[in-house]
Amino acid sequence: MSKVYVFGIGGTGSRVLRSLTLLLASGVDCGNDTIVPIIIDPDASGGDLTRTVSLMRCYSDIRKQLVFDGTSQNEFFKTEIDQVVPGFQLPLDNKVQTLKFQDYMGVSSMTSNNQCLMSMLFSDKNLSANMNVGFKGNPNIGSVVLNQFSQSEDFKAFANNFQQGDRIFIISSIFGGTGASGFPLLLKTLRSNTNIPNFALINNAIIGGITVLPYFNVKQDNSSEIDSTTFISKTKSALAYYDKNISGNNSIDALYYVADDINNAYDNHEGGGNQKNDAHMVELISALAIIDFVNNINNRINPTIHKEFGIKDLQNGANDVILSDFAKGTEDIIKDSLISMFLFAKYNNNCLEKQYEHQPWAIDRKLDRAFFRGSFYKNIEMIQTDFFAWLGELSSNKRKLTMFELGDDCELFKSVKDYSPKKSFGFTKNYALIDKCLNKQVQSGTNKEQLYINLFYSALKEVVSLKF
Amino acid sequence: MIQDFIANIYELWGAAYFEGFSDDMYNINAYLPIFLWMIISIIVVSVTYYYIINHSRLNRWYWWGLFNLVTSLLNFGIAWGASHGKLLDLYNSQNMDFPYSAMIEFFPFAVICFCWTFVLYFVFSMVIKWGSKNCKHSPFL
Repeated sequence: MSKVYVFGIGGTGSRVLRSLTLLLASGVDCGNDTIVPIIIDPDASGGDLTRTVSLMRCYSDIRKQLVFDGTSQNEFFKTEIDQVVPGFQLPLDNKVQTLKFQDYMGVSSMTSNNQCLMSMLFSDKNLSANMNVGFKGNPNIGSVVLNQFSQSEDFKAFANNFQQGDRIFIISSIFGGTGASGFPLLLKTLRSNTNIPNFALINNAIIGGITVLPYFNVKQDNSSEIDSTTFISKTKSALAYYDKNISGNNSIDALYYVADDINNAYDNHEGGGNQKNDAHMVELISALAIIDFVNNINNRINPTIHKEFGIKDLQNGANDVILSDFAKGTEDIIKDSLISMFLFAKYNNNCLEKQYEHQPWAIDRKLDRAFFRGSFYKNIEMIQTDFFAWLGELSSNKRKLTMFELGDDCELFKSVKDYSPKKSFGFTKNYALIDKCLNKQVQSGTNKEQLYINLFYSALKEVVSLKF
Repeated sequence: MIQDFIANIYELWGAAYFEGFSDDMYNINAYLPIFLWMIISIIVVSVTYYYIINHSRLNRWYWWGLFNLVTSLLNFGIAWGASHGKLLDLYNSQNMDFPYSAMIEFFPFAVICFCWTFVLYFVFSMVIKWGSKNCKHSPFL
């Protein structure tokens, strides 16, 4: 089983990894590969980063208690998320966290000629910037500071772990600071640095990346260094750079682009705990790029292959997207998995507490109060709570992606937008149908965690095929 | 032989022997059809409950109890109606006054039928419930 090292750079990197984790929890097929997320973000307390890290930890804890040896059908949490660097993060030099950019560069000890050069390259605001919350939309700062990460012990740990057949994927946004500067630097390091362990393997590895073009704005705030009016111009100049130095020299095998021209304006936070943007359809699509890379890019490609993502023409000029607006290929990848996880989460949320002491599927397997108060189930609950939050954020963002009705007043099987449930014979409806399918299952064993997940996966697969 | 056995069941081996009434019931062989109705109704209702309806929301003790209660009440009515009808026919055919009263003979007999139905429904449930997917633990839920 090979590994795919997924570098998530900056806030966008973390948010895409959040979407990817929830897709994998839902059972979206990611082959037999292990995903190894590595986040590069100087803003270690950033809300996007901390939320994603705790979600991935939770996923890993669940995954550790499950066995995938081919004897069960279960696809929930099938893909392993491995933690090669502590906390899934590649820490930057401590100086980045504590010093201003000018102190980091040692401007005061430079010769006057060099100081003049510095003032040509960097504005006074740049030089006096604190870097503990990222590079605040300044790739010119990031490209200097991030140049040092290849020296870190954790980067060496990644390099030491790298084996023949492993692949690398890089997520970055092009219009900010950290992602825009980190992507070319990281790629250059991976392709040409000969001072890292396993450099021969890494230099020749299959590498893919997604460059997220502007898909949101931030509200104008004169006290903030982030100004979204510069996003497009920064994007253009970065694309011109990529054209020569990334695609142009074939240093990447597959480069995915995603963008949207309908933008939401988020609150303007330079970083820290408040930088916790709502999930966006573009991040889900970016996560699908990783799935596409894992499943389809298995060899070095020359010249670089470029991929973009499109959806069907929206009806009546609507801006909002529903599941059936995706092309069939995308729908086939995510539809059944997301519906299954949605039903799983709805059942746990609205029905489990009332039913588990009365249903044979739980009684016969001793899935009792202790199990449903235990850490495994708590982790499942946490993942599913975030799953609902993620769906809610997707459906309230701009552009909206509304896959499900999230309110409890909607009949369960009518909650999937634009899919009328099939009529089925019998008078068992809603959650009772899920219990009926659970009670039909014959799995047995001693690993309760495995049994619980297997039961729900098999039962919900049947429910989905009956109703959708 | 079977008739004696069934008569003993309804007369509770002498504890519920009603002079005249019990003899007449035995002599006109009225116990057997009432007993058969009881057995058939228990089988039909419990099989319906466990295997045809077999509903995950009807597996609580009170739903099982409701099905049992309905079956027992049905047999209460059958016992009363069938015994009253047969004995009335008997006395009418002989142009004799009908000697039995509702509260002294028919009601206690119907109550005994009700109780037997309830008990046998429970016993039969214990035997057949294991194959039910959704109600196998009923009525102990």
